[in-house]
Amino acid sequence: MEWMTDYIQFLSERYPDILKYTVEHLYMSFVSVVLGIVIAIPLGIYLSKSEQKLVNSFVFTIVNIFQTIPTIALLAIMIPFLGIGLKPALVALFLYSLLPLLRNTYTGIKSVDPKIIEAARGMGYSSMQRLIRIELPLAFPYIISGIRVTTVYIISWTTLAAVIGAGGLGGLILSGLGFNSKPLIFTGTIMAIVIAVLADQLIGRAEKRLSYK
Amino acid sequence: MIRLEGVQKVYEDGFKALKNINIEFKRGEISVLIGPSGCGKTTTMKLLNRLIEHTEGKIYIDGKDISSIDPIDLRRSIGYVIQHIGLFPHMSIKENVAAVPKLLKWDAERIEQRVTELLNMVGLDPETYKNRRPSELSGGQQQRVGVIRALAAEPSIILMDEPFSALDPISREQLQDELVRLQKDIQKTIIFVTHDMDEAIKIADRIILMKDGEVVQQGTPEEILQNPANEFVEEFIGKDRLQNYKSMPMVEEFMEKRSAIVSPDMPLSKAMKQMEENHLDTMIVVDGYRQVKGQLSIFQMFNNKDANRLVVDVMKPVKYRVQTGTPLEDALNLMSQHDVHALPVIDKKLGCLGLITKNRMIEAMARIYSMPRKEGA
Repeated sequence: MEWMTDYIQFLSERYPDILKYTVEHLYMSFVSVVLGIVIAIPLGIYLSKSEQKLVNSFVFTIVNIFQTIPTIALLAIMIPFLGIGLKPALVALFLYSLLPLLRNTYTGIKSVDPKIIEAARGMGYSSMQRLIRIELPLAFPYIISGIRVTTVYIISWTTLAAVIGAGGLGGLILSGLGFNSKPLIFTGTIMAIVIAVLADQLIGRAEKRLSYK
Repeated sequence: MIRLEGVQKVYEDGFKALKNINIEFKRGEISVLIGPSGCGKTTTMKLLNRLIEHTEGKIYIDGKDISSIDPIDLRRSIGYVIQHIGLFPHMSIKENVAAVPKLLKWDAERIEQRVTELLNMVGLDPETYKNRRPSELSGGQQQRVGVIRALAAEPSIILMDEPFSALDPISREQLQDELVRLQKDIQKTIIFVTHDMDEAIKIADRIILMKDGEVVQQGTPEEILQNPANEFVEEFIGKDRLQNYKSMPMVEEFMEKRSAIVSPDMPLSKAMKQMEENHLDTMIVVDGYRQVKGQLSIFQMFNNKDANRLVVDVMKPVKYRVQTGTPLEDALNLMSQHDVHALPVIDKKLGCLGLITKNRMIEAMARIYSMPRKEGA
């Protein structure tokens, strides 16, 4: 059981660092997901309403392309434009969050039974009232599950942000690699997993409480 | 009242969905738009709340051209029941019913009151149901909610787009009965779209039969059954239904005519004599303008033996009457439902023609029973 006492000692010595990295990690994930939500959800709503097929497929293609770029590559591409550090990492993660959020919002709104829309129209809902009182509540399960999936992915991908000097739990793992320190690698990994699982649970609970079903 | 004048609907691709439609939907009547699919019946209905815009002609509601009314306001003033129920699944029953009142910004108390009243009206206990979700209700219950949702904001016009077609036959019959019963109290102008002729005959005050974007025939169910305008109408009604209808005798074939009619200023002695001669226990009192004034039965004669009194002094008011063209069966139903012994028969201009009595009814039934049943057709 020697390794256990060693590890506890390691934790007690390094916990300020671990905490700092964890907070950075949370901050980056949170900001990029929120940015994604702020942009992708209204965009998704707009696209679901827009009759212009060309615009729709154009936007979806662009967003799809971002999604296909390997994470490490996207981070690297950011450097010539935005340098290193937090800013390029946030931008890259934000771009990743777009597709699942956009697609789920779009699908959610599109999935509302046209008969229900017609009932609402015939009853005298204006298009804004219809969106807010009928379509968004009905699309909500799709949208929130998009947010859930995105959050979990982003928390996992944020570990790579350390490569371009943005910090986060990836920093812990990278220095573990450098010093050949198993406890560092192990701690960074576990913390990233714990954060992802907790976020998943938290959003799952919100989903249950707020969905109509 | 709603009036369509020379209304046309031409789609952008040139398809003529409606060609020169002229219809009047009367206040307080159930008008049924019927026809095969693609005939334009739903399109016609949707013109009224501007879910579809007409391309030519005029539509007036109470004399006002609807193209001058904001569509949102127009729709809030017209009840709308759609085919597949269309309740909002994320809202409770109460919220569903309250939808339009809420859009119209009624206060909470008034909404609560209205919802309770409406749920009671269709036999759904408010305490049990108002907080449930639509998915927790049966199909029949859901469509009851669909109907009262359309009534919630007290519109004078209600559009119903095949509202009962998705229901099982038993619930469908129940809802049809309920609609007819409700309509007696609420007296709304109802435009009802269906493709089911039985349904139309059952609920309609007026049937408008359409085909290929044109009105083929309109009239009361009796008028259409008696005089189908052409082969298409006959076909659509169905040979069996026509056969049945024609073999069923009408009230006028079996009514007592002059023999049962007395004038208000006739002395009772004379009226009694007429009763005796014609073996009648009830007579109908009709004035010089052929208007029904009342009825005189043997009971009133018994209670007023003063021979010098006049008919007008002792006669009783008449509550129920039947129109010419009513099948005997319906008259009999009416009699047993309200426990009356005789029904005056009136024509379209409300003039009295005679009286159908239980005795004559027996005679008619005896004849139907003695008729050889036709096999096949």
